[in-house]
Amino acid sequence: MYQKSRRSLVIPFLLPAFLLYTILRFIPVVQTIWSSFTNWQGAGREAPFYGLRNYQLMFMDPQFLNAAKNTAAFAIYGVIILLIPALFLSWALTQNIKFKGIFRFVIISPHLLSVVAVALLWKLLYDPGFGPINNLLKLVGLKSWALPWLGDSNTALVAVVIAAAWAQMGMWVLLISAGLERIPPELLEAARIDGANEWQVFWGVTIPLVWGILRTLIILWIILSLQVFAWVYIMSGTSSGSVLTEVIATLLYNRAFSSYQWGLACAMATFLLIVIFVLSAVTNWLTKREVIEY
Amino acid sequence: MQGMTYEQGLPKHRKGKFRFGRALIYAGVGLYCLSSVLAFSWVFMISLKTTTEFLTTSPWALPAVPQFENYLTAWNKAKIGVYFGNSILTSVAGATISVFISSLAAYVIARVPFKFNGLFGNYFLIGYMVPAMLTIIPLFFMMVNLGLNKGLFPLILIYIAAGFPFNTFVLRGFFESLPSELEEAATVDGASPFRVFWQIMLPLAWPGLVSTFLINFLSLWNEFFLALIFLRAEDATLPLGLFYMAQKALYSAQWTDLFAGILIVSVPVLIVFALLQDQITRGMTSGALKG
Repeated sequence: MYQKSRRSLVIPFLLPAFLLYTILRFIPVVQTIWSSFTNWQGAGREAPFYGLRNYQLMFMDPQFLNAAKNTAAFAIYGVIILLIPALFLSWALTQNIKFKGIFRFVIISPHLLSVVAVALLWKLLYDPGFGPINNLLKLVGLKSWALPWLGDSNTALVAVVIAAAWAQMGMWVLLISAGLERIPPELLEAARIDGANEWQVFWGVTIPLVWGILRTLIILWIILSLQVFAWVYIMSGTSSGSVLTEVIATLLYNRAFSSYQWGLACAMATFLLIVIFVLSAVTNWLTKREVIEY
Repeated sequence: MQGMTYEQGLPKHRKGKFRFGRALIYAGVGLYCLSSVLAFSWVFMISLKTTTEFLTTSPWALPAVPQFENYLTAWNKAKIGVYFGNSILTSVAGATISVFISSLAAYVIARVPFKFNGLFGNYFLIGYMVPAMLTIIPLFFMMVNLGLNKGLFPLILIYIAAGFPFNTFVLRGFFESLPSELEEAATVDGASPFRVFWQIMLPLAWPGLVSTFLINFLSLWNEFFLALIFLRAEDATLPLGLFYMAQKALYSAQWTDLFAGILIVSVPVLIVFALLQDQITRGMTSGALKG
């Protein structure tokens, strides 16, 4: 009964958020999608309707295909690099070890740092000239391993992914260990009493119970990878390594702000949006095991 | 039952076997953490070298005399002080206003039954899945056309709107979890709906507001892409300024300034995290886990 009187708050309370959000996010998105069907190439209002031409151009552009390949690779490499270490570190943090607080702090804090700081940090670490990684390799006699990580066609993309994964690790460990801690010890005990060894307990009981969290993390990483910009731009930027690591977002940026092909850039952005939506839906559907309640 | 670890649950004869496992755990976690700490220590060490030392000595050599002045140079000559101020302004303004406006919307969505209630909730939430890429081109032109291509104001506006998906989602959760008795009691006592919100529900949701603010602040403090597009070089925030410094370092050889800059960006965050670990981790998990 008294709830109804609160209805008077609805409009004034929703209005600021709704207005700002619609003007600064919703409308621009609609405009981008609309512009992807036009040949918008100048700052003027001339934007002749182009139909699907932008998309055709996009898919036939070898640079775009390269960027798409790199983007997909970024996503896949990331999941591979993150999964096992994250599981190990999270599990380790639930064990009875000392210095847990310090370990947690060190593992999680890179996640809170700016992309710029971490990307530059790794760029400097990777530097063939004064970087400590190559220096260390040379010191222990592995000189042939001291590659120009960000310039070598085999390692460039992975090197960038490692930096991004290191930063993301904190989030993974935080959430996975939260999930692990919520597992009732009785379940694990029951499995052990039934004769399972630790390995079987881990894979048969623990993993299925944190599967929901893993799925969320993987989806988040994929969405992050699809739109990754800063990592690649800062670590490779306009240097010679950029073709090796160019992703859709950086190509989009260049097409928009260097070549002024606004319509084309909008098409790329719209394409990204569709991919993200489709992938999220598919991943959700494919990995739809029951999230086990307990 | 909570807090019982693997080891406590093991039968006695298995415990010995576990010692070896323990060593392995320490080794693995220790190695990971050690390399992270080493990386940062290296940056710190280099930041205290002179430029000639940096270019001529080995990366692992200690500085002859620690050049703490490098930090002052970075702050003044390399303008990191200016960037720092810009970051504080954009992050504090952006986060505070965004959280406040979001709390208004979140409150009515969470606690006031009205038609389209869920619709508005989802409207804000969808934004989470829509990458910034899709907004920047029209926004860029919008700002230029409105004459808002100078200073920090345009970016702050964009930051405010950018926070809505996350903030409304998390704050809805917080508001939903509050008990209704106080609300009802106050209404019965004749308080206006606004007073009920302002003097009862908002203070109750304070921990949630603080966590959300912290997460928001951190992400704005670290933000790069929108700053790159909507700020001129003179108005750069810390991440953007650092990026420009890195590019300049290639031909100006001001490397030590750059290293100092990296630490200036990072250390405040680390200190805040160390002090407010609980608040922050709570905010981080609430966004991804349910309940």
